[in-house]
Amino acid sequence: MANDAIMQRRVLAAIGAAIVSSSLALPWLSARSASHSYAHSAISLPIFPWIILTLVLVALLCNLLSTSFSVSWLESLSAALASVIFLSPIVSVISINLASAWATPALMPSTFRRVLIGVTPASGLWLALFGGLLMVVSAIDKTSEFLEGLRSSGQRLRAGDRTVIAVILAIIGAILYLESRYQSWITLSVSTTTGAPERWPIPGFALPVIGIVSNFEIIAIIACAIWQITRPSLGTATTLTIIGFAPVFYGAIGACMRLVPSDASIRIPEAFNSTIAQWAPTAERMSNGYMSIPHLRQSVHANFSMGQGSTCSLIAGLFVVLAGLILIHTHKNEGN
Amino acid sequence: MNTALGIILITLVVMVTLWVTIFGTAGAMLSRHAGSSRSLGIFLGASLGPIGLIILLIRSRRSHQPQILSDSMVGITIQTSSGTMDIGI
Repeated sequence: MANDAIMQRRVLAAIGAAIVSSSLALPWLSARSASHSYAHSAISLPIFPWIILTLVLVALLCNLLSTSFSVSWLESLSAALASVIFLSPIVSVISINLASAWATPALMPSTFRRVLIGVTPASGLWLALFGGLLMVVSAIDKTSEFLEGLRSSGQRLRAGDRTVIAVILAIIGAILYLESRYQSWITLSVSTTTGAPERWPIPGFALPVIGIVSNFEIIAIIACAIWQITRPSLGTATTLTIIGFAPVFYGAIGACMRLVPSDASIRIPEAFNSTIAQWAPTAERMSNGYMSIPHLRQSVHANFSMGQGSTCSLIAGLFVVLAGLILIHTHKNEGN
Repeated sequence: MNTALGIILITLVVMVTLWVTIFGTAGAMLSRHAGSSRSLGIFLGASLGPIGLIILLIRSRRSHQPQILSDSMVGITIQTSSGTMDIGI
């Protein structure tokens, strides 16, 4: 039995390490210039992939050795390295989202802000986060609890347990909501000083209010979903339902915007162009001419169309609300 | 662009490593004091930072708190690696 547990721990660590290593070949970040986006795999970045590979190999080796010869410092080192591997993608995602929150630019150093604005996390980064989580679970010796939790959730799902179904719906909603942040909500066609019209897709994270508030809503949805698995309560179910109405509301605004005329003459404030003048040269220099931000005419004729971001947000909200309502119904039945 | 992104990601990994070293070590010490796994303490300290340390401190205090075992006995509960042991006076 003990041998089985050790084998499971080793296998989980190896799977985690394989996932993190393979994620390096996938796009980690997607950088955006005014109208184009470019994917960057971790392997294309200098030095960084080698640092991650070394961390993964040393963490895996320490984990395997600590299960063979119970040496406490090897276990501690394995846990510390696995924590670094798990936390690095999380900190990257947080940094990207902080840089995207234009209302609070002072939170980040200016170099970070110049480069990270318009950068979005891609599939490789999320995969590395998942692989890091598996490595941490193995390193802190919680493999059996983790697998048991998965097994019992699977059994409850097969038995038609509504709580598990609702939690899965809520998590799908959170993932869709997260995805909607990086999709285009509004596409602006504006004339620039060079005369050529530019198409600017504006993603959800760049929108005022929605861009910042949605971060906290996603965290709250995931927290409520996890809370429901461990300690189901009517309060959390109600909170989940209320939070779910927010993305539905944003999506509904998007649907209404489709009805209004899409042509408008906008007078660009001088402050906007002076901000571009301040940021553009450094961003262009640091990116070797890759991020070019054109100046706008003072009075521009803009044509806007709605992107799929708001629709995605509407669907995400419906998933979360449905999950919350199922949980409330379940509690009500249990109470009766 | 690749160089700038690479430098930023390396800086983030270095910052995370420093964070894990400081809070992970403190978490390991507190967890050891509370009689639970050192690696779990490292993870809690590293992932939750100061909040994780407060949680571990509360757990550590609870595990060393004197408690009433029965109406006439007062004792302490000592947590060991193999379980808990009550000593009554």
